[in-house]
Amino acid sequence: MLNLDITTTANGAVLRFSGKLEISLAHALRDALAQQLEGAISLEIDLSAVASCDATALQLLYSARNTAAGRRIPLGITAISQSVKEASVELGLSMDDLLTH
Amino acid sequence: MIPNNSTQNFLLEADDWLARIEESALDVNVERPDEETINQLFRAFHTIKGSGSMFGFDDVAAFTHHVETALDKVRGGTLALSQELLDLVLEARDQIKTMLQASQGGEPASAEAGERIIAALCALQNIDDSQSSPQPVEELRTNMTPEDGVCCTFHIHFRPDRALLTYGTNIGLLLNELRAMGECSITAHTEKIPVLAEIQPEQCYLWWDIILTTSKNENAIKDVFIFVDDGSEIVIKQTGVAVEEKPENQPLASSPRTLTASPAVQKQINRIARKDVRKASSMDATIRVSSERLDRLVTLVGEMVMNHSRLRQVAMMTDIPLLLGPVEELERLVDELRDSVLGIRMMPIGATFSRFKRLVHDLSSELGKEIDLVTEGAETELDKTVLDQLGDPLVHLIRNSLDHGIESAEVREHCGKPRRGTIRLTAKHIGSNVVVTIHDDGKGLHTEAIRAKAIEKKLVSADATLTEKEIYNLILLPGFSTAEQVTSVSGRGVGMDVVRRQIDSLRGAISITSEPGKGTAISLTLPLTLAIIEGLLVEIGRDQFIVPMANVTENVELHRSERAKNNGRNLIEVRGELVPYIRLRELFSEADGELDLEKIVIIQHEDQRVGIVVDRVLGSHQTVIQSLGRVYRNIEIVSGVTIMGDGRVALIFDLAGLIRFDKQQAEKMKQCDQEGFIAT
Repeated sequence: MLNLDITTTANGAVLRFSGKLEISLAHALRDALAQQLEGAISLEIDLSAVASCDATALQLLYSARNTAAGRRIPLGITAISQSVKEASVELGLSMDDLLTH
Repeated sequence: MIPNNSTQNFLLEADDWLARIEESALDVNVERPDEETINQLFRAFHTIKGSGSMFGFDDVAAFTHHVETALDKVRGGTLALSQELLDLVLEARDQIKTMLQASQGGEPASAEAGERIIAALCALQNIDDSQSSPQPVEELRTNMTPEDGVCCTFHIHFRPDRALLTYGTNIGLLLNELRAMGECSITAHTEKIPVLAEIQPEQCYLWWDIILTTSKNENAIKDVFIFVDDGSEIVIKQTGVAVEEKPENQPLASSPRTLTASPAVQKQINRIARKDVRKASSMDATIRVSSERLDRLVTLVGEMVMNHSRLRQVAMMTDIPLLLGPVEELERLVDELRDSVLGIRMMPIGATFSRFKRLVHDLSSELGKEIDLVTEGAETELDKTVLDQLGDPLVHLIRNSLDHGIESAEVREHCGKPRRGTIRLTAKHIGSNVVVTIHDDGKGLHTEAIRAKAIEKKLVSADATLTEKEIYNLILLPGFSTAEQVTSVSGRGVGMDVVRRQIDSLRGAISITSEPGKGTAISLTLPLTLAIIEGLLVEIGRDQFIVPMANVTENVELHRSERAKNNGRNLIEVRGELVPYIRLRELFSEADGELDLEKIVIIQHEDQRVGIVVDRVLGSHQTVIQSLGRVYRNIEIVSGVTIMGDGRVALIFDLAGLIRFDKQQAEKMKQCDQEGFIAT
């Protein structure tokens, strides 16, 4: 099951994922991201509590970024866990362009 | 072990790899081994080991490791390829197959056999068994040692198969393997990742460009991608070569490098390095579908063809123009669908041929003969059902050629023939049939011996006048065998009649030619498919029948006056040739209304032309073949039935059976006449 806490603020929503973000949850993750981007003002994603992450999840984050950019919705990843960092480094992905510094 | 989907896939793929191993091991020339074939053998064992380990077949992985090690040494030039090693490779292949089958409830693999193979492999490599203990795949991969201190830089382009992640592949681990090989710069490309509305979340949209400087060769890099190369785009290009100056025993990855170009080394490496780019084309993408699903599809198409036939009949009866147009269009679509579906079931005969390479290899050793198998036309396609039923008859015919046809090397030399005998297995399309021929260059058939044996076994009378061809056909009769010695290979007196029955059941025909001292050729003429055939619809009385169109050569008319011409003998002259005919009215004791004008459908069966006399020829008919069922299985003259557009059933003639039955009836009549004559 996808572990997701959603906090709505005046500036938009904050999505806090925890647990596993893996291929078995890929459809749920895609649907959650798509749903939150519907009519959003802005979106922040917190991955600091994610225990493990794979290529499908990282792709979906890129996909969410592309979708948000197309709709001119500000989207940023505010924090990532060590496992997310390791997964992205292992795949040769740079999370810099997703992270909000 | 109850296989889940992934395990089932592994077992299916392992089966493919084992088939490739057998083919490569039998194809490779021991004196001049082809580098690519050795690589293929190595990769096949490597894949079985890796995948086996991944899916919990640890015993298979451990055993396979020993063969892989030996083959790796052959690749590296430290072990010479020998016939002994190739025989061990084949034995190891059989052992792995048994181990895999055992895991699925088959007979357990013999541990002694496995140990004997391992011991023999170790002996060939001059190593102690204990030194050859298996290592985990990962360990084997990362324990690679630098080769000759030569470093090359490779550009690797890796665009995975979109479905790769769904197979459970961890691309990160794969990239780590490359990192472990040397200095590695990995660039991931994300630009193909679509927006959320379009993305298939389990598919892989990422692709990579990798620059790797390593002392490993291109083969070692290819081995990293060995489990992911199906459907993926992998291009490995050597972009430079350099000599590494590094202290002894310093780990490669952490060593500071001073790389200097060396034209001499570069020239040498470039010469050795393969220039081919490995690119798995998307054109080669295939999917596995169970044959049950295909059979279901063919059945449904068959029903569609029959229903369309009914619809067309209704349309013609009602003669509504608005209906006729769409029915014609539907006919075109149904025909196209039928051809497409039947096309899916068509498979090249090559896979069946490959089985016989091993058979000839093993049996010629057993019989102490030197025999080569040459195959031609492996790409010829036949319906899967026909292919499935063709294997056993071919095994028997090849065994016969090996055992009785081809002489021992000494006898051949004595006769002025080459020591090595040859069995030629060919397949080719002739019209709407495929002809498979087994030709050996052995001693040929001995007509006198066959005739004498047939008389002894009371298969023919002593005064029978038989042509050469009729004598050859005697070997197809039940219980016939001229073998002087019953061997484990053949000669039990059963088999050739079973071959004939099997070929008859496929609506095929057997033709035998032979030349004393030169050899024998047995040709099997087979229909392309058994599901739907083009038939000629004929009528006798009020019943309709189908004659397979593939056998029909022409139709002629038969007047009542002509029937009397040949003194009651059923013969008619067609284009200067006397053709015997079978009057189905007589055969079926159809008494109603003798016709002044009948039709003769001339068919070609094996090497003879025979006429089948019917009342009327109604035209061609797309015939969906339905089996007769158990109760009617022994009706020799009928091979199946089809349901007509109006719901009636039409019987499909088995032409071989029909001709045989007519001959038997004629013999009986002759016998009755003679007995009657004696009685009077």
